[in-house]
Amino acid sequence: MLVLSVLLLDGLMPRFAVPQAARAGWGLALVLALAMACLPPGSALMAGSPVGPVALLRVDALSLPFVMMLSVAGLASGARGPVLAGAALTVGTGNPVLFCIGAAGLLPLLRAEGAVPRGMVAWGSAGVAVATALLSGSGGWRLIVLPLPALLAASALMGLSLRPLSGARHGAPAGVAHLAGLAVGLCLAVRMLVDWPVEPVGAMWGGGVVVAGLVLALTGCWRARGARDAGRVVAGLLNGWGGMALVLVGLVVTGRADDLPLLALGAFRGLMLLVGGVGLAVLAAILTLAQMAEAAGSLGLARVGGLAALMPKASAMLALALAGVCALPPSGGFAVAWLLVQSLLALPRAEGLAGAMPLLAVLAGVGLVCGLLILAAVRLLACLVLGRPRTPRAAGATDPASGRLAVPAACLGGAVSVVLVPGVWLWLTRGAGWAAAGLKGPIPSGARPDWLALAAPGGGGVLYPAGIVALLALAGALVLALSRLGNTVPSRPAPAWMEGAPPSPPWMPFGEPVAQAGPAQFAGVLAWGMGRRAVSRRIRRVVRWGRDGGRRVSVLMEVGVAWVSRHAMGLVLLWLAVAALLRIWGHSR
Amino acid sequence: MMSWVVIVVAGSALLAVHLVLMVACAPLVRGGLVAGVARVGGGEGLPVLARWRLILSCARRHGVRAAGGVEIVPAMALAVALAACLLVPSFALGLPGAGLSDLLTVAGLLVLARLLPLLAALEPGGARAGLAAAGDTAALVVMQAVFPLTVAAAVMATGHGGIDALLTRLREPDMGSGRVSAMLMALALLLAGPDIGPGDEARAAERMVDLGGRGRAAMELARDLMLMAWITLAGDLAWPGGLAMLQEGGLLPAAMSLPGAIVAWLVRTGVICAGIVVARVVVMGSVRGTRGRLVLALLFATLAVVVLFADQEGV
Repeated sequence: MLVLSVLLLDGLMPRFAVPQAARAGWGLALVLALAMACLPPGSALMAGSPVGPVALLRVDALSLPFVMMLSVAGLASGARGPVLAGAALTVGTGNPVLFCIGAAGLLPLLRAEGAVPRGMVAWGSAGVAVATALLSGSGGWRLIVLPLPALLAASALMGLSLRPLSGARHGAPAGVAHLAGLAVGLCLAVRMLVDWPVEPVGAMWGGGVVVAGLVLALTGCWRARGARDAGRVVAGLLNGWGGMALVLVGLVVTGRADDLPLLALGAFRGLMLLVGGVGLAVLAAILTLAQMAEAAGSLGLARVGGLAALMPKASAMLALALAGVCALPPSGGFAVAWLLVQSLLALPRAEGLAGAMPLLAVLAGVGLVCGLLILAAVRLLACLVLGRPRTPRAAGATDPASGRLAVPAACLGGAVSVVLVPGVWLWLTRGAGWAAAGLKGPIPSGARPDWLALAAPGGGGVLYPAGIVALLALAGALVLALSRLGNTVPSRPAPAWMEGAPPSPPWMPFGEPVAQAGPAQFAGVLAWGMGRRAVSRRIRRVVRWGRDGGRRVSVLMEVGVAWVSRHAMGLVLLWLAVAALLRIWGHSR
Repeated sequence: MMSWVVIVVAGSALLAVHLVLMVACAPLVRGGLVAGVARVGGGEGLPVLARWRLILSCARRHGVRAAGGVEIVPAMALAVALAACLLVPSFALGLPGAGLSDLLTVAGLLVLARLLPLLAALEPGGARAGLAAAGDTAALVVMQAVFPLTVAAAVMATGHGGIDALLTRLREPDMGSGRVSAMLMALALLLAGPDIGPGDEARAAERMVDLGGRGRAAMELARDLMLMAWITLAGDLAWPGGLAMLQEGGLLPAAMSLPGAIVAWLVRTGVICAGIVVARVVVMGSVRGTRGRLVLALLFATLAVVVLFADQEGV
């Protein structure tokens, strides 16, 4: 915590230390977190109950995965802003009041980086404050109300919203701040819905969180599908995974409420693989995109293209990172989606067909989210890496020096190792998993992570990511051997067939820029039923009404928050006076 | 008790036979489908062996490529399709690698094998190939909604998501509604997975306009293997009784049951091909491509679950 505090100071006052000191500090924080993760969860350092200020500085098991992930992000990016250090300090504390202050303080910083929509800062701060106030007591009604503000605060921190648009007004290109927001939002959701409540939150709310997460994931993926530049596509992908993470949190809540520790543990393992595998792949994509933007200028999807030939190393890195984000085997995204589907199938269901129908709808929604993730990633690859350059600026791009790609490559290597040998990462985060599943005392052998396998919580099967990779390697070797044995001849390069069109004139050396598949072509099939004019007009009208109503409410909210903050002192005095009068009145009766 | 060396050698030999049969039959199946659709639709008959001839002649030629990545992507697609074929049982259960064969994994691998050629089509930057690939990508991703539903139906019917355990359970005599559910699952997978829609052949030809030589051969063989894997998986689900089972207490199927199992697999494949030809000509000819297939696939996958509960509530 002390190291993180110094890093925060460094972020707030950039002249405080030399730039290399920030990376060294993040490295130290990562080493300390790893050392704490290697300790047995029952040791004195981890599970003791210290008193006084030491208790505030204690990093418990549930914080460690998030602190490790943020330390890796800080180490890889070398960012010196206060966002990462503030986020790490926030997730590092297990005290609800300190967490609330940290999360509320982080929201304006995230807004400054563009990771949080403008209207959500006030809503998020209000949500954090109300949820913390609700956690201070133990009344039954508090747990019924609690998930609503907690969900609001978590989605505000993760930058999730129900707006399907992704223009310049709605969000910024993905950066490390988006990852920090995701980590803090997830930690907040897990803490407030699973860890801090004295009694488990009701299973009904678990279902509510699942549905809300699914809707937010669909909206995030829709934003990624329609975004106009590479950074915003990655931000949309991250939002999609944030929604999926909320679905997993909902499953953990249901597992705790119905006293199914293996279901809660399985869903939490999916969450950890999401943070480790997908989070590191997204980090690699963000860092690679920064290198590409340096070399090729604007990364607007209608302006670049053809980087596979110009920047082969960076393009391969981006393709691998995006493969890790998609839910296709053997990537980390697939492992998370597999665990999510198996956890959903392990849910206790109501008897009969009516009990199965909501589950089927959620499963179809999860499948659709996976499909939209693939579509957004393929669209990004097709417009950025494949095809021909669309502008002279993009045509002048060259690969950066190999050393500069070492950091994203290391992040990618970390993501691959987290997925191929999931046992290591799950062993490092085992304490958090047991705490989230509510396992205390002697841990059953079924709750200990396997090195190479991911087991379905309902016993429906086992996934071996390393086995799939070995199988693919075997098939690849077979293809290579067949190619050698068949004595096939390598192809010779030739210009692409341009439908018989004459060569491009000298003033248009890149060909007609609109004569190749662009970003708009990937969404054509998905606009089914929206093409009819009357229907689309009606839908637009409803959307406009909703948007105007939301805008009015948000303006009122902002006015209210501003008025309250202007008259805060007077209101506190008024509240004291009213409370004193009520007390006196009560005593006098 | 057989020693483990014998088991490994015999299992690997059976796996090799399975793979060789799949690779040998895959172009025949697509060739048969194209010829059947042409013949039943009133066109001129095509030879069934035309696909094999095309693949072999492409592999022998000195090909061209319009982009660098096109040299490796066809080989990758072929490798992924081969890996998926290794996981789908054709005539025997319990072969080596069966522990990896999960319904969701196989569907994911087959989607990946279908996605890689689309990237290869987008790389040269040609307009028609790019448009065809973009349309195919969008059509492919909406089908993702079907696969979790089929996994749900499988787990609800049998309690297993792994293909071997699922098929073993389906062979047991008490699986009344489970078998009907599995047949509906097979229909849903056939509608959602393979590229057998009305305009798919033409779009595939457009996507490969810049590709020749061994890359073209690999891409065509990968397409055929994908279709073969989907048809075999659907056939296994529809009629698991034809598969050779493990011996009691042993780790390998009985040698005597293998020829019958291979014949059963060929019969299943032939029947499904005939069904696809009839569906293409009679039903799908008028339905507008992807939307109709998606709705039908979702319907069949949901019905697969409904059938399970209908039986329970009827009893």
